Amino acid sequence: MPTDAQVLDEVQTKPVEEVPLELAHSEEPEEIHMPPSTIAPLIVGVGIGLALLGMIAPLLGVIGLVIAVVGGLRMAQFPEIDLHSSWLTQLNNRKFGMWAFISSEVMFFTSLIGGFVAFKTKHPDEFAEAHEILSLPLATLGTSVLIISSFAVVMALEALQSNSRRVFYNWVGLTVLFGASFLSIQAFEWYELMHEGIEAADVFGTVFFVTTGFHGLHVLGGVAWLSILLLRSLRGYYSAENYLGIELFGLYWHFVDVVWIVLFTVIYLIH
Amino acid sequence: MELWLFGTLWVTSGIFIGGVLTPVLSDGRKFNDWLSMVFGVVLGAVGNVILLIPLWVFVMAQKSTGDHRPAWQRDAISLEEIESGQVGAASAGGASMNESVLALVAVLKENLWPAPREHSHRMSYVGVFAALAIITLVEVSITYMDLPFSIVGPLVALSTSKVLLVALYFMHLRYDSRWYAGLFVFAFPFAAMIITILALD
Repeated sequence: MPTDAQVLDEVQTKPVEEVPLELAHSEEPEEIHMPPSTIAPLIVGVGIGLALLGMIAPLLGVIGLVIAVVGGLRMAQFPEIDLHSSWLTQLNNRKFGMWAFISSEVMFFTSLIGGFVAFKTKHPDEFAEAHEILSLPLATLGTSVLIISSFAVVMALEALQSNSRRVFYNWVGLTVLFGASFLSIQAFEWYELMHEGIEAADVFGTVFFVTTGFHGLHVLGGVAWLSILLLRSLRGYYSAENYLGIELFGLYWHFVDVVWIVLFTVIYLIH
Repeated sequence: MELWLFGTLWVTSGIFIGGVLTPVLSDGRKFNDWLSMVFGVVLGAVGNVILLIPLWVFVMAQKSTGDHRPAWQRDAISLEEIESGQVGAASAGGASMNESVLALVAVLKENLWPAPREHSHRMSYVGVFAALAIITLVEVSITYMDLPFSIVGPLVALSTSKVLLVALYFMHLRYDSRWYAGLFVFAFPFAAMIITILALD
């Protein structure tokens, strides 16, 4: 084992290329960069808890929503460091979490759709009557808009990975635009249906508004999420190497699209 | 080549929109559905060609500014041009139709088509998008056609294939680790359980 003085001597006197590799590296362990810890998830959790209490006391619900949004914005400020953390094989923890969330959403929407079908088999007459009022052309337009926006997210991710920033912004912008268009189409549809006499107190109205309403809330959340992502990417957060944030949003958005594909078939096409 | 591709796509999209929308709009009125579809196809094709006219006029107006000489003077080959050897396309004042459409395609490509890279699945994304559009078209069409058999089975099959396409390609399940797919599929037995309980009630 050479002493420190010998090592220093060898390093200083020899040209850089001839210094043995093990001497050139220090003996210190490599530094590990961890992201700073954050209490943002806790804030979101408390906020959502209060928002649920809003079912009893509406004022608490409003306060809870505000707290949840504040926490969410804090989360958005959290630096995106991909630690390549692995569990089992080469799994990414954030992506795994997203899939777990989607998995829970599958069960949630299945119960809504199952409820729709169950009510439909019990009250076929009322549903047939309401089906005459529903506008299939409008729903088809909404479906097309959502499918195009789903494609736009895929192309945005593709553009980001190819380092084409201008193309990336264009597709992200199109996604926001189409997502918002879907919401306005749905708002128009609800307005028309309420004028046609479909009320939330009806058998059909209850399941229809709850099912499409929850889907619409997901679209609304997606548009808000993507707007934050757009702002972040304008600040240069994302690149061809750091695209996980966009990919995770894509997973969510495609899932919302999948839900609408099923809802469109169950509610509008089958009668 | 790209000009023809663009033109065909444009007219085809018109045919599709016309062919679907017109029967839908005339539904419940006195028109025969099939007749209105044919009418819509023709209207869509012709309409899309007519829609191109303002663009064409605009491009023409853009190209011809700056040189207000009569066309015969502008297009004439001068002695200097012959001597310097720059006779031909470079001296032409107005762009041809072909060139302006090519320019439009170039602008679209620049703004919407990412730079090439390795291991890209973008052509399959485009294919999946086209498949989704066609399946949706078929679904809506068979709903409007009064078929003698129940269409519930075909509709479920078609929408299931759409869901599979989106999950496999857009959500990258086909290329990603199987664990993600496993997690996704994990939810389905529970979903089936919910459906069963609701059906039994």
